[in-house]
Amino acid sequence: MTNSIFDILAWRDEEIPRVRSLLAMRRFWSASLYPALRDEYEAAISGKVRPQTPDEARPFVDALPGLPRWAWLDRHVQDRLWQDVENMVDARQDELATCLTQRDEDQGAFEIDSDQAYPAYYEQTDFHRQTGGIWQDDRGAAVYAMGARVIHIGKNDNFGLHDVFARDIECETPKRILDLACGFGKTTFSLKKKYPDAVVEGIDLAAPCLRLGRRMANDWGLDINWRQGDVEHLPYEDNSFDLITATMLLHELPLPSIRQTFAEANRVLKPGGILVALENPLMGEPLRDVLTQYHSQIIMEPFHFDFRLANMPDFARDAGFAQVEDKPWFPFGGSAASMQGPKDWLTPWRWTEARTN
Amino acid sequence: MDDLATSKLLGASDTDKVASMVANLLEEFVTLSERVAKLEGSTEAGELQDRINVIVDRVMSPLV
Repeated sequence: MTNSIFDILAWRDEEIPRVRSLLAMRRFWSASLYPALRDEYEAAISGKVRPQTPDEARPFVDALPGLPRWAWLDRHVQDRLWQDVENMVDARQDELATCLTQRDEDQGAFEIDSDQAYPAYYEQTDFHRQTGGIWQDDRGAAVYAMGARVIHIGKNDNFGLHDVFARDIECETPKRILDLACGFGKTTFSLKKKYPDAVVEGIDLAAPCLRLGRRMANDWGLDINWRQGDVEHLPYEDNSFDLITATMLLHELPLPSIRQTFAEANRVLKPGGILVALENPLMGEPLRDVLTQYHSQIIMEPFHFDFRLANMPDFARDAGFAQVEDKPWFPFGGSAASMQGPKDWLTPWRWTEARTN
Repeated sequence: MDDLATSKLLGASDTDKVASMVANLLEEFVTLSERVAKLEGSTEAGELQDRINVIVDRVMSPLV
């Protein structure tokens, strides 16, 4: 009897203290070092014209004595996370290999393109500082999945955030749904749960993530199609889908690739179809925005800051979308005012929705 | 070579490594501490996390 993929990836008793240690260090970074930086920053700009933009704030931020310590711990915790999780995955390699193998009873189509071309930015970037990325082997995909659980522990156990995202989509009875850059399927699962009668398909460049997603979906009894492909060159006919989602995808792309992705989504959506993208925007507060830029550099998200400065509704309109709505999103309550605590390291969400004619 | 009795011997990259050693030791210490906590009868997850938070805060406080 093969264990379920969820049993295999669950933390073992002896691993939990390491997870708690990582969480405690991340908490110290955000709840102690960041407020200390805030105090240093306020002292540095005291008596001067208050910076209004990241560019105006950057010279003050760069001179803060605590900045190197904040940056160092950010990088250390990220590297420590992957090292710890790699050790955890290595202890499960044999079980994983057996579990991920295709089975006769597997539901859902599964299409891997052995000639898949990878964009240069994708091959050349170890996103999130994960050595080797998520696309080269099944180990990388499992490391990513376990690492993501550490980062989101408590807040997104069992992908609750993604369930809320699917809940808030306003699209009546879509027949065909596409989840762009689905990874191992966090959003894809939630879409299938919300729309059980729809054909739901996840597309991603990383075949190992698709294998992991297929096994998770089957262990949950979810009939989902998985296909390897590039969001800039979608392997579908025009007018194929009623709903397309992109959660935390766009910020990983260079700006020209975002434009191309919007154009492709517009092409494969049916008339009246909807694209929903979920992302983290800038806070609109100079210190936070500069630190967010540095955080993105540290954890290897090289296109994140440019993405945040760009106007996504304009990109969507340029790609041919007729109606575009861009709004803050509060998955677990709250409001814009609740995000403004100067000493709280909070992550806002932005919901961009574009409809075709 | 510089005066070994007075010059600063560790450059930035060395300091990085020393800091990593300290943080790694902290993680090993936290792992052992949790074993002790369990032997003492603590099993509630929130309580165990709070205990680790306190240790990490204490050890890392010089960074603030």
